[in-house]
Amino acid sequence: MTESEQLNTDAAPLRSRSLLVALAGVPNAGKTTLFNALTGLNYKVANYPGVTVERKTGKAKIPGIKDVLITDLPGTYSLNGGAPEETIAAQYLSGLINETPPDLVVCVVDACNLERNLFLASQLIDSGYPVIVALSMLDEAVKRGIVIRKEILSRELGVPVVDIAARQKAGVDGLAKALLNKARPAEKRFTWSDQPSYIEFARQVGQTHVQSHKVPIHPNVDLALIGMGLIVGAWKANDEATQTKISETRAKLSDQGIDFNNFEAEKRYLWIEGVLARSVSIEDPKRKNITETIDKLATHRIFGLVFFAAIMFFMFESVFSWASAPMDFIDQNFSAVRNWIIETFDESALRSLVADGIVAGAGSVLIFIPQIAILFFLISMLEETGYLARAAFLMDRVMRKVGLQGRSFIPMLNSFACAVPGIMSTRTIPSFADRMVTIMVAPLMSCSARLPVYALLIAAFVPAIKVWGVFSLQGIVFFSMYLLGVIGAAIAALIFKATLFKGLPSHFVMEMPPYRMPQFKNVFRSVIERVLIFLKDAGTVIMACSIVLWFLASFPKVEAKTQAEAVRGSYAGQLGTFIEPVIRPLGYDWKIGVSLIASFAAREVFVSSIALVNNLEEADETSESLISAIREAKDSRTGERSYNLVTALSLMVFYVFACQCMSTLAVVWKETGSIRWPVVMFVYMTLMAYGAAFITYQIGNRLL
Amino acid sequence: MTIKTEIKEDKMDSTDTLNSKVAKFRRGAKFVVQSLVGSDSDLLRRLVTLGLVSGTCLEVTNVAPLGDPIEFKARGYSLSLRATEADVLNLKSLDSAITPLINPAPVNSVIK
Repeated sequence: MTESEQLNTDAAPLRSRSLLVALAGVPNAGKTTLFNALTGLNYKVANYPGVTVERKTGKAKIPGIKDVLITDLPGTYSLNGGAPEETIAAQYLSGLINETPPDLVVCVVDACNLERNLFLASQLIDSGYPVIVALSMLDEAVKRGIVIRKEILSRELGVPVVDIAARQKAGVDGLAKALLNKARPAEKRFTWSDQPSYIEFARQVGQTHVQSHKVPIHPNVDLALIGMGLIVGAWKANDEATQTKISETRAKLSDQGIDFNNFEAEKRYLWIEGVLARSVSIEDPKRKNITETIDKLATHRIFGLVFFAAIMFFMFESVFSWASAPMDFIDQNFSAVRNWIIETFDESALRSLVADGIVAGAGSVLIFIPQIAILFFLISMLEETGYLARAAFLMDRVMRKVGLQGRSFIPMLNSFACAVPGIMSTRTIPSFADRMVTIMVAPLMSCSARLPVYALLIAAFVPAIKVWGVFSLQGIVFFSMYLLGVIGAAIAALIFKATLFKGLPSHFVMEMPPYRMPQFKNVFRSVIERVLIFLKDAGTVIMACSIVLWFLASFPKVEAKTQAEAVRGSYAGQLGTFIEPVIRPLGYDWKIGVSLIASFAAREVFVSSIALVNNLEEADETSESLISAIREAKDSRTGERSYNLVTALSLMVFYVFACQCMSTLAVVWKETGSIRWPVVMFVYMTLMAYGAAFITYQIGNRLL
Repeated sequence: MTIKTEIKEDKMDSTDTLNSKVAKFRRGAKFVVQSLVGSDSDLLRRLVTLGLVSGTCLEVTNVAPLGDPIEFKARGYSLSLRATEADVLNLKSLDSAITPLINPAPVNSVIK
């Protein structure tokens, strides 16, 4: 084989540049822990081009080796793709994307779950990379009575096998030694295949594909792997040459009696069974598994659901209530800075820009950090312990009824507090379609920013009376708004599933990892990563939006006797007046119009904005002065009251559905990697809000 | 196998509702995968990649409180599948006492 010669000559010039090591492994194999142990805090998180799949790269601190760059690939079960994360990892390792391929692949293998983990390892060995198999969770395997004879396993696989025990950091030196000795590609590859022609056919398919696409393939990568992916349909070729080659090859394989869809998987697993039979023995197989014991309770039909409800309540309570203390702290400090600027400097456009544009904008970015940090701390804990998969397992049946899936539950629940962290947490949903639908409907959950709007309007217009002697009417209206959001989300999800995301795979094939103690290092890292990504990606967009909104509200400067007149003269006021004919059928005047525009910064801004246009300086949703001001507000033309109960209901319904939140749109843009989705979201939610508010106002006016 | 049970099998095939699909997945039930049959090639590829190939033994270890999804143990690890997804697995029950009712697929439909 000429390839092996190529590989050896290729390995020589490596010394002149840094060694690029890729960490590969199935999800939950312990890859992140190893990455953390190898790189310390010296790493960067970025996205792969065009997709929101994270790429972590760091310099390894390995004594004796300089310049080792480690890249932590997303977890993947095979080189055949699947979820977006897996596809990127597989494309990168197959050389299908234009990125420098690794010089060496460390395949992290969970010692407690060798059979399934070795599938990826054997594919990697076949790809022709120098591979080191790193055994993780060996301590746990020992406890379970699994005895692994590393020398035999290494001989069978044809590559070095090292014990990393990354949790204790002890085994990292062993890995470093293996790195120093420069692992070579395995000499015997494809030993699982009893049909040499299969490999040769696959290689030809791979070659055809690479030639017709001019894909820059690294000389290390064996094209047979790409060919196998094409034959089973894991990769799609859109050129005729490859398509013809694939169908010819499939026909040839079928003639030889080879089931081309399942051949590779069947034979590989058969081979792995043989390898394990020779290298692993299980002592005391009757030992009770702790995971099964916990699961008896955690997924029990009564206790399991009660426990689930308790965990979810705790999670929601943390994000909803406990985050409010640090949020108030941030809010007060930014107000203090703003006030200080206004008191210290003379009035000028610059002062206004700094105080009301930049400082206020920075405040509206940082205000999200407590919720994001708390939510991701908890999600990461649940993920590390293994409970996240059980939560999805419990909820799947319910969530599927409304077009979502089990993994959508936590993002949806937390969107009741705030859609921003909620949408960020959809990254745990592996299916593209399910994740997208969850993102699109999450902002319909009534978030905490809608509370002040509901509170003000209910206090001002809904009579404080009892219904049937027990229920307060105000409470019923309040609850109805939440319910309306949930129903709207279910309908929207079903429609999205049937239209934009129709026919896309949305499976619930999910590994149930064993319960484990959480690694706090991994948890804290994940929190810091999420916060930094938010600041860097969405934060900059939110900042830019708030400066635009500041500009619209502050210019042009007009001579005005009252606050309200000044607002009316601004671009925002002009826009509010301009849209008045459009929002008239909903029962709104220009004052509400301008407040709708202003509250795009954040929904609760509606309250301060409506106060401003009614010539009240400082007011919140409980201020008696504001409540009576909007109750008594008169239309200057007719002299009649501007708003009544029906207007208030129509406005609340509008707020239930409308995407009046630049931060949500910014996060959707960054999380989906495309401007298309925030546009779709804004348009559909605004239409939904308009339609629902229109119906509310028109019917309400006839009934009441 | 008596003629009577064969008639029952035919009936089950034609009225194969979700309930009957779920019904065979009782906790502790053991199966062997005989083949994978279905039109969703993404799903089939996913399952064989995860090790659910012909000849693989499965045990139902858990059923979600609402009856679905189902947790299986195979190749030393646990995997949850919805009943509709598990349906692409042509399974043979290893629990001989209830074999005729549980596995309605006639032998000649087994591909391998």
